[in-house]
Order: sequence, then structure tokens, then C-alpha cells
Amino acid sequence: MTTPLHFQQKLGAELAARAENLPVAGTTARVRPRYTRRLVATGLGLAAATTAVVLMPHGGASGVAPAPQAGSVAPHSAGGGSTAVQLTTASYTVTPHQDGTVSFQLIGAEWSGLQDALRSVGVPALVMTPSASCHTPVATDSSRLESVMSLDPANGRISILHPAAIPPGESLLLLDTAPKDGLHPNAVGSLEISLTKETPGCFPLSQTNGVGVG
Amino acid sequence: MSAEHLIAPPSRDPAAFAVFYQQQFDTVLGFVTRRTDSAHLAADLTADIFLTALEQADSYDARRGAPVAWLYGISRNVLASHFRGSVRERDAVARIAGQRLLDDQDVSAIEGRIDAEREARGLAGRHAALSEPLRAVLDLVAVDGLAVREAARALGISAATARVRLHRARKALQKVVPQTTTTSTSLNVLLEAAS
Repeated sequence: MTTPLHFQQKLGAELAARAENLPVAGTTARVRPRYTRRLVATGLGLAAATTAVVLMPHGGASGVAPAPQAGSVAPHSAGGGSTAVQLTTASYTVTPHQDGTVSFQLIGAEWSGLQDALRSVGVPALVMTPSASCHTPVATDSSRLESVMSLDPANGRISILHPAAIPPGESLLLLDTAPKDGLHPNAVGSLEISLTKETPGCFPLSQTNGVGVG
Repeated sequence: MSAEHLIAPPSRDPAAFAVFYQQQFDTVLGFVTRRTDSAHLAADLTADIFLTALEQADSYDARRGAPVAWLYGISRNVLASHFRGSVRERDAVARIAGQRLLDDQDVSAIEGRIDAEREARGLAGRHAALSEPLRAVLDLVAVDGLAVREAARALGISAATARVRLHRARKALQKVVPQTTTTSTSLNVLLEAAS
């Protein structure tokens, strides 16, 4: 089999240059949202979803686990979603649109303020970290996730949230389920998403799916 | 690809990615030349696949499969985006125009590969009659030569699901592909290997 050696060399050099200029992982690197096996099997239709999972680099050179809100619900009222607002940090981007949808992209693992950011644009969000010491089950429902969340067809790294599809009184629950003892605890995080009618004080670690071996 | 423990994982580190790139170059070029008959498009797609792999290197998780399965997953997504027409709109400035890196000898070399992969492209073309879930797993196994488990990991499905889809694909193709031609014999050999 012949090899286009000149092309191989040129492309290798170009990629090396790009690699040198990549932003530090976990700060501004973009990542592509992934979905659980069941979601992929449905062609991103989200129809059979139990949870949606987003993998992204963990931030921080120290490799310390992220510290999202631990279950407390900020008394932030859901606004109408100002179309002029764009809430961006080094770890996430939340962008409201005229049609009421909200673009949501996770970049890093520092999710402080994410709950408030989502709520400020009309997404009744709960951002929590599961706890091993929590033993109170939380009723979650992902059967309607298909109508609440989809991928941006122009950029699969971006999720599109549909706040109007979230039933009144329910919240979009985002769980940091990064495997703290995984092979790449500093490089990979995960986020499980579901709906809940509850406002739990904590979420049991035993109730999460984690990111298992495919 | 025979000794997976020697395969470098993808990494954003320039030196480590260079090793990964050198090891996987033939794999990626083979993937695209089995799906296009244009040397220039093959160069563009190869560049896009490796650039995407570099950008997403941190998403690789060794627990979810070998680097080649991860790379095939990326390759499928890049090609799907290309054929949807969205990849050029997305990050148009950031992409590498692979065809600009070609010289005449490169074009000849890639065209040689394209010629050699004619039968594989024909096989992939016949799979077009299948639904996307069946076609995706059959392409990776019968066209690209991945093991069922690797194909499953590239697609994010279980090996059991992949086997079921292969079985269904085989049954579906047997209904539509004539059994008397040399090509269909080759098809059946590949499908037998996949089952």
C-alpha cells in the first residue's frame, strides 16, 4: 500500500503546530457532548434515554475534583430569558435565544454558578454532586428528556435546552458523576441529566449510573 | 493494529500526539479512501479527522476501548458531518485544508489506495440499502475490518447489540444481493467473518 509521505509529513507538522497552540485542557478546550449508550443507539433521538451524559475535561492542574453546588437550591427565580445575556465562564457557556431555547456547552469542570446561570435564563436547574453519605432516594425521570434537550445540529458539542418543555414544578437535575477513582480522574468528567419533581438536599451516589465500560 | 498494548493513546501533548498520528495515519487514510474516490477529498477528511482527534484527545477513556475504536468513532462523525454539509460551516477557519498539503506524488499514492479499495467502496455502497444502525456496524466490521467489539465501542453500543445488528444486516443483505456474482461471494465471505 503506497503512502503519501509528503502529505503525511506536512499534515503531521500542521497538527504539531496546532497541538502547541491548544489551550490548556480543562480551561478553554472545547469538547463534544456524548450520550449514554442507549442514547447513541437511538441516533441521538434521546427517546430511550435514562440519563444524558456529557464528558469533558476536568479543570485544574491540581486534579482536584470539581466543586459544584452540593444540593442547595439557590432562591433564584426563573426569568424570561433575556436575549442579550450570554453567561460564559472558563467551564461553561449558557446562551439564551429568541425562541426560548438555551444553548449550553460544558468546557471545564468548575461549575460554580452554573445553577444560577441556567436559572437566570429560565431553566429551572439543580446542579448537584452525588454523595456517598446520602441515602435518601430521589425520584428522577428521563422519559421526557427528548423534548427537553437536544444537540445543536450544527455543532454537536452544544446542547440545546428547551425550558418550556420542562413541566411546571419540575427541575432539570444535573449531576456531577465524574469517576473520582477512574483511570483519568483529572481528564474526564461526566454529567448526568434527568428531570425531578423534588428539591433534594442531597443525591445518593448509589443512585447514579456513572460512566461504565461500554 | 495487532498489538494494542503498543498503540499510543491520543493526547493533546504535541510529542505524544505525533506518535499517535504516525501510528494511525494509515488507518485513517484507509478509512476515508474506502468511502471516497477523490484524493483531494480524502486529504481534507484525513486532516479533519486528525484535527478533531487532537481537539478531543482528552475525551479518550481507555476503559471504553482501544484508541483505534475511539478514532473510528471520530472518523465516522467527521464523515457524517461532512456529508451533511455542516463541517465546513463549523469552525471553517480552524480546519486544515488537507488538499493544499498534497503534491503530485501524494495524489498518485492516494489514488492508488482509492483504486485498491474499489471493492470495499462497492461493498459500502450496497450497505446503503440498510438502515443507519445496521449499516454503521456492518461497515466497520465488513468494510474496515474491525472486530465486533471494537466496532461496538466505536459506535458506543454493546458487543451483543453489535452482533444482533450484524445478524440482521446479513439477513437483510442476503435478500437484496444476488448470490451468483464474484462480488457477492466476497460479500458473503466478509459477512460470514462478521457473524
